Parts: sequence; C-alpha cells; structure tokens
Amino acid sequence: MAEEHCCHHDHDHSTELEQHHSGDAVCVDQVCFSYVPGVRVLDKITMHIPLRTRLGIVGPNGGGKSTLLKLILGLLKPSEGRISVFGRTPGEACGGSMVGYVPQRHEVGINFPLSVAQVVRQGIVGRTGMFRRASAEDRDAASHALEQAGIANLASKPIGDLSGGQQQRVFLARALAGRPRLLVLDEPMVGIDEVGQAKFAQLMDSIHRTYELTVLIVSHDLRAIVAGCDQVACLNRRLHFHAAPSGLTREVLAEVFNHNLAGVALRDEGP
Amino acid sequence: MTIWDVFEPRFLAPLLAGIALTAACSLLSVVIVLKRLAFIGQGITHAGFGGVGLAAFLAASGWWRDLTIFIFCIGTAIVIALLSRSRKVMIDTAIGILLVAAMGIGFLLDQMRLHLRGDAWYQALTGGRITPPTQWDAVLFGNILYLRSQDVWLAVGCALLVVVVLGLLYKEIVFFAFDETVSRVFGVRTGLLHYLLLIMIAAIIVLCMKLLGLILVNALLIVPGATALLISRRLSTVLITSVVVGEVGMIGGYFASFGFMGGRLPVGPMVVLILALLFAAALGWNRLRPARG
Repeated sequence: MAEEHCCHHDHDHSTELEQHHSGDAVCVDQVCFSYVPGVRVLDKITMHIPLRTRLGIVGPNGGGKSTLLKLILGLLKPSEGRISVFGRTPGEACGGSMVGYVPQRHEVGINFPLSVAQVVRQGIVGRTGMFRRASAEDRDAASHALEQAGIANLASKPIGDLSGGQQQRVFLARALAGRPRLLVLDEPMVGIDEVGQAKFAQLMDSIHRTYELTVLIVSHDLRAIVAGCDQVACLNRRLHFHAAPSGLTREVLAEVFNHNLAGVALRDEGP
Repeated sequence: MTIWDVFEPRFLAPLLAGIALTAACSLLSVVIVLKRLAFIGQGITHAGFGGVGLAAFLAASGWWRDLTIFIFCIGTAIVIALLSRSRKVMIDTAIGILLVAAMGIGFLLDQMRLHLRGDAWYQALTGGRITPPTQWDAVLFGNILYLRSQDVWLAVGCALLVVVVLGLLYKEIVFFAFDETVSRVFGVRTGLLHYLLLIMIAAIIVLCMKLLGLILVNALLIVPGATALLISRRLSTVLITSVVVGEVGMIGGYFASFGFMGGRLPVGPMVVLILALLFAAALGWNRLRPARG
C-alpha cells in the first residue's frame, strides 16, 4: 500500500516537472541508482532546484540522501537517468568551481599540519588549476570567505585545535572561497552543540542573502531544514514530497520515516 | 679505512646519490604518512624481490635489470591501486597477498633459471647469457659503495624530478592527503594523483634498492615524515624537518659506517638505526613538552 502511495506522489511530480525549467540550478531527471545490481537505493528520482532557492532534503538514514548528494557532486554516476548542474554534467560543474561542498564533519586528523587559512585556501584549487599559483583575486576571495565565516581570528591556528562548530565554519569558508553558484551541505549540524548550531544557521542565512546562492542541504534533522529552507524534499528511496516547508504535514513525515521498514521488504520489487 | 676516507671522490659520489634520494624520500614520506600509504609502500617494496628474480631469469643486466625491476614494481603498484578502488577485497588483505606472491615469484624464477640453463628455448630467450647468482643480501640491505657512476647520476636526476613534481603539485597533493573525496569535488584530479604517487614511490624504491636495500628503503619512506609530524603542525616546518631528519640519518649513517670497526659495517642498517633513534627522541619530546596551544 505504501508503494502505491508513493507512486502517486511521483506521478504528481513528474507532470509538474515536464515543463521546461530554464531557471534551474540542478535538474535530476528519472535517476535510479544501485550499488548492488537489483537493489535500488534511489528509484526514479526527478527533482529540479530553481536558482537561488534553498532546498532541504530530509529522510531516514539509509534513505539515499548521501547517495543523491554524491550523484549531484559527480562522485557517483547514475545507473539510469540524467543529472545536470547549471546545464553541465556534475563533474564539469564541480571542476569549474561552480559547486561549493561542505562535507559531513568527520574527525579531522588532530595532527594534520594545516592551518585554518590553508584549509580555506583549498577551496580555490579548482579555479587555479594544476601547476599554477593562485591569482590575487582568488586569494582575496579566500580571505574574504574567512572573514565572512567569522573565523579570521583563527586563521593561523592548526585545524585540529578547533571545536566542531568552528571546523564546520572553516569548511563553509572553504566552500565559499571558490565563489560557487551552488552550495551543497551534508548534515551540517551533526556533532555541533546548540550554540554552534544557532550560529551556523545565522551564518547560512546571511550568506544566502549576500551571495544569492542556490543551497542544497541534506539532513536527518528536520528542525534545521524547516528553519532555513524555502523548499523541502523527503527522500526514502523515492522522492515523496517537494514543496514549501509549510506543506510538510504530519502524514507526509510519518509516511517518509515509517516507510523505512516497508522499504526494506519492498527492495527487490521492480518499479 | 678511517672516517677521513669518506672525502675521497669514489666515496663522495655515492654519498651525493644518497643525499639526493633521501631528500626525495623524506618529502614523499610526509605524504605517505599523512595519506596512510605506508602499507602500499611495503607492497611495492616486496614487489622488488619479484623484479630481481624476473631480471635474473631474463638474464637482464645493467639498465635492463633496473628497468625490469621498475616495471615489475609499477605493475604491482597499479594492481594495488586497482584493488584499492574495488570493494571486493580489503586493501590490506590484497597487499598482504600480493606481497608474498611477488616474493615467491622472485625466488622461484631465480632458482628456475639454474635448472633451465640446458634447455634450447631458455637459451634462445636469454641469448645464452648467464648472470651471476643473485646476491640476496645485497638486495635486502644494499651496498652503497657498489653504485656505478651512472647510477649516481640517475639517482640525482630522478630525486630532483620527484622533488620538482611534488613542488608543482603541492597544493593538490596536500588537499588529496587531507580529504581525497572532498578534494575531488573541488576539482583535484585524484585518480591522476593516486597513480602518480604510486609511480614515484615505485621509482624511488628501485633507485634506493642499491643504496639501502629493499628492507630498509621503507625506513626512509616512513620515518622522516613520521618524526617531523611529531615535532610540528605547520606544514612548511614539517617538510623541512622531515628532510633534515632524513639527511641526518643518511649522512650520519654513512660517516658512522666508516668510523666504526674500520669501515666494515654496511651503511643501510646504520642509517635506519639513526632514523629510529631520531624518531624515539621526537616521540619523547612530543610527550614531555607542555600541551600545545
């Protein structure tokens, strides 16, 4: 029954999206993905992110959130379907510094010999290119990003000495240094205390206003998404909902998050 | 021999090769330690045994011998790289298996050639040439004083090349070591870097083989970087310290082997011993000094 229900949502969605969207930052078109043949982690995902919107993707663990993110970042190739980022392949868009990426904060090697400023400057390697020195313009962008993220005072500290919240702001600054048009954040609030979370949300807000970026946030934390996004998509192997957060009803959420169990049982069934 | 004999040209030339290769090894070792490639280095090193055996089997000598060993090591490095990208086998398992297989092939081929000497096809393959028995202890521990002068220049040239490549790709390699996946999203060509690093490690191992021997090359590819990372968390300081540590080990070991017991002690083990002591000292200093701010 759950299966039927989500198909219904899919149909709704594809008719709406069959119209041509020229103002889209990201187009995901009928994308399927399986790590193991026959077991689809993502099933016919169609999703368009209009320019300058902030889209949050929520869903249970194992629902395919990080897989979708990896596809959009060009780290994985879809088994079926097509993805374009600003009209290019994900690989081209990332190589051309159009996409800024804030990864899920993992434990940064405490002894890794890099300063905050050096980590932020990693954000401009794509612009600089191999065998070349960074241009003055790019270096300025990196120091501006440091200030924007409020970590200019930490610039010379080793990255391993910072708190989780501070490290997250460093990675945000690194993403901004390349002057991207799309900012992708993977579980930005994980492992950060309440104060740090509030600060980070505030920072995201001001960045969105200043740079007019398109933002894509993936999280299993609903609060974070609803507060800071214009649109919300629920993902659990299929895309269940894709609209303004106000339309996110209790029923939809119950379906997405409970579907987790049903999803396991239904995995082997084809579309 | 006394310690002053070191200053004779025939002893200074190998020292020059040693200093150049040590500089390249020390810089590579920082990347190897940070990117956790130490075990891959082990795998490639042991592939050297296979290469030595294959070269003996083919009766290759001189440059051909070096080239055979290099190709064997590169081949192993590429197999390791391919395996490390697949999900079927854990990388340490794969290296563990390749490592013993390469050694097995090396010793078997070295023995087989003795039994095949009379066969017509084998004589056709080798052109009737027979190389002297493989000196496995020289392969294991090296002998810096038997370097030919062309070896010295090759070593200096290749070491320079490695240093230049590391310098040109500095920002990419550091990002790659810091976070491979993220660096790829930011436009770093990680596949290219991965293979380039493995090729550089393989080339350095083949060149260092005569100098220090296969067993001890690993010391130069790990200890300087590991020691420097205990001393500092500034990348520029780490790189300089690593080279200083490597060179103190190399030059110190060279002089010590001349200075003790009438110069009859091999250089390789002496170098490794000094490196190990430097690492222990750095570890002690790291533990004892006040907390870092």
